[in-house]
Amino acid sequence: MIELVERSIDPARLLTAFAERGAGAGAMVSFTGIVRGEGGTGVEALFLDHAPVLTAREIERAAAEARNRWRLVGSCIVHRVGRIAVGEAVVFAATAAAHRREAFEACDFLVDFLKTDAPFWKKEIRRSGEAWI
Amino acid sequence: MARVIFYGRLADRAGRERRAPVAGQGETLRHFLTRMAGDDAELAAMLSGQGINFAVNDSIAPPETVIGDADEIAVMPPFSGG
Repeated sequence: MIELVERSIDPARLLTAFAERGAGAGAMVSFTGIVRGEGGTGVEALFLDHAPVLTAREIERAAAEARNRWRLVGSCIVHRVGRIAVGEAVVFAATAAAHRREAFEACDFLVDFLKTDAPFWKKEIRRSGEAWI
Repeated sequence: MARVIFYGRLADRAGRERRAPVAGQGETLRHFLTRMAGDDAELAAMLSGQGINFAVNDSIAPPETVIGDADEIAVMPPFSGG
């Protein structure tokens, strides 16, 4: 399941829903990314721009690669777009597999893709102004 | 008229969306964008800059892709990840 959403996300609720769908798996791994408020930088929020169809398609391509490389029972990616305040969850990713190693490695792969190669464009919103990063 | 959508910092500079006619048969994406930038040398430089990605109808495409008037073109700065 892949979702790009503007509303805030609740990782605990997403994990519960994922666990219900992944019944029978021996291992589940989840990751929650949170917008960092780095001391003294004055960052108040991130703004994430995305290309709705293309961004979802590229994430699906990465998820398909994960399914090819590891034997997964399921995977779930929910990513915020738009304005995300410091302290809010920006991404939730989870994988389920028969064994922990596969679940860990697949989740790590998906998060690496999301954090570095996914088609997002990120702007820091500071008290002093805005800057694309 | 082809529809051009700019993302990230390019949207701040060029606006989110522009429409421009494709010049007949066989015009490439690169030629079309150069023509669209016209006299705006700074925009032309941004559009041909390092790491700029393009998509035609939501599929990533090289700048040599031949486009038509019904196409939707995305012009995207380097992906930053989420």
